[in-house]
Amino acid sequence: MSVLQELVAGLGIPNFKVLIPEIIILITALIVFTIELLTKARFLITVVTALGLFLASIPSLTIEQGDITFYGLYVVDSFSLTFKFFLILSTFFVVIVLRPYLESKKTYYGEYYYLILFALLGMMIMVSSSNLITFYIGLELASITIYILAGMFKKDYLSKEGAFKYLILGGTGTAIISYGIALIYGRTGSFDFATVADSIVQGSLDVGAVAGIVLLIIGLGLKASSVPFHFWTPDAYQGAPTPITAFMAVAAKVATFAVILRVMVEAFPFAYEIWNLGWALLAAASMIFGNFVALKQDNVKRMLAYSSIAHSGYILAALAAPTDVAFTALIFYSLVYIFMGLGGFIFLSALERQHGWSNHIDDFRGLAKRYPMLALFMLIFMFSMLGIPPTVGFFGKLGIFLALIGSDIWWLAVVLVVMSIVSAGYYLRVVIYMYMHEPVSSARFNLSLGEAFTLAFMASVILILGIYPTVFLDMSQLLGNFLIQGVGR
Amino acid sequence: MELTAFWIFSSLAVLSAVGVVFFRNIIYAVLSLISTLIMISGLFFAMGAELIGALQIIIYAVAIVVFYVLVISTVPEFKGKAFEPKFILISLPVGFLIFLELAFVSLYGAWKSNTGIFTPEVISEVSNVKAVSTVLFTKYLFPFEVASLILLVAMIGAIIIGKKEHVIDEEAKS
Repeated sequence: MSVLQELVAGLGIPNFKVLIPEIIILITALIVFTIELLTKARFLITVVTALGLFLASIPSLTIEQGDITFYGLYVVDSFSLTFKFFLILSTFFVVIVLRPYLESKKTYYGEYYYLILFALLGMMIMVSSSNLITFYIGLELASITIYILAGMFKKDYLSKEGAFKYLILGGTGTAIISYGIALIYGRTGSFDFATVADSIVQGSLDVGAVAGIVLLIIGLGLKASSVPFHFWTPDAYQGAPTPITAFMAVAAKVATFAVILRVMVEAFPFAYEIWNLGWALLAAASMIFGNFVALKQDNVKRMLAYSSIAHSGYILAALAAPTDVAFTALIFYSLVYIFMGLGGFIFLSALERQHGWSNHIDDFRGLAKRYPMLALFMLIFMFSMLGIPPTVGFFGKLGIFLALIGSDIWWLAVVLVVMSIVSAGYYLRVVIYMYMHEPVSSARFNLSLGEAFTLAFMASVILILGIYPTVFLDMSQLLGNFLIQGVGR
Repeated sequence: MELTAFWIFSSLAVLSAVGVVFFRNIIYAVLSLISTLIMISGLFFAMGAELIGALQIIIYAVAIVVFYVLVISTVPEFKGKAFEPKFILISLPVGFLIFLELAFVSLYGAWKSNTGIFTPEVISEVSNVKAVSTVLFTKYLFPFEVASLILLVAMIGAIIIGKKEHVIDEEAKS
């Protein structure tokens, strides 16, 4: 009995204090579940969800950092807390625009709200994992919830088809990730990032380690919708209810980028040659394919889906260089992508409610003459995704470009620049249709308070950060350095 | 004794696995899948891993495959396509690669295993169940609890996507 008793005696009680944001989210989800079951008060459900998110965001900023709890399985450091705050923030904006959209599409379910909270919980577990098991289980919680969310459009064939594709391909991705984890466990005998990092060192790269890392890259690349594992993305994004698309394209993706960075840097710091090459290839393919296919799309929602594939490419390109500059660029770009992505998709969600709007590019004709403010917001989002100063998208791309050049990876830097120019073809097309065409209809648009606030907030953040990016840059730099310091831990 | 058990169980498992691939009738294929899984659990028992053997029977052979049988028998006109010869060009080399990889991993695993704290001596002293549960409920408590959330979410999702639409329409009108 001695071994077991020693094992149990060595363990203390886990520190639950650092889990307060997660606990608040979970309790809110259960409360919303009960409210939804007993009453059907739609306004109350929205308010409770938003309130829970607000309450959870406060401790994610104030909590003491650098604590590892649950016997080394759950790490609460500044990296995870920052990403948690931004994930909660983006979920908050999705929640406040959700109800008008669902009601206008006659597809309201109260279940949306607590499923979103469960998905958020999964992402929060993902970003603070310091162990392959925690990472896997968080990824599963987030993905399974999002499969359901994507398929909840009532009586809509596209939604079911997209969710089905996402389920099958996402399930494949999960299977590949678990296989990779099994190989790494077999190679190193541990799931902990730190132990794995100690075991896989430069001289000892054998078939087991390499195969494990490659499988992990493939699985994570599938989750981040990078080419050639992107087949689910356009259909799932187009089919899902638009605020849910925003949630998938922004929150889920940013959490995936964060966890990719964390797994690669903390678990395989000395095998960087493999994952540098792997992510560089995936990033280049995503940039080229995503941008060229987006050029041909007439449906703006589908176009934004392809553009999000291209953005995966831009962000993942930073992983081609194992330097702190590159990690800083990745963190910075994924944080600012939250504002552009949410802005673009929530713009569509707000307009999709209006009479006769089908997301077709023709619907954008002359929008500037009818609603100059709305057109201006879309202009800002499009310019930011394209990367034109003074929007913050420019600094995002500039950071990645400088990081690539700093590590002498010229080919990828050239691909990035050329593909950004190609992307002007479809981003500017929307702007041209809005500003240089005559309006075809004169139907009135009504925006809800939440939608108007979200669009204005996203546009102004993009402009403010575009002029004054120092706050976010400093934060990203801190987090990037923090990750590198964490390697030897 | 152990060797005889190994040969009997493994040859039956391979035989049933061949049956899974080559039976035309899908019910026969699923039944031989059950047989494969039971034989594999027999292998686990023969190796002294009684917990994994029991879990294999309970979860795979009973829960999952019986569920397959239920689905196949309730979905009307479930038509499985016979395999087309042109796919064999892709499937043979890919399958062979996967076979090589699996063979490597299992040999490698057999050579690398037994490096943790639960050596065969410890396992024979306590038991598989105690060893697994000790780790599961201490170090891996957190993922274990989150897994329950995953099951909850999956259940909610199955209910939402599966429930009849006209019920909600009436609710929305009232």
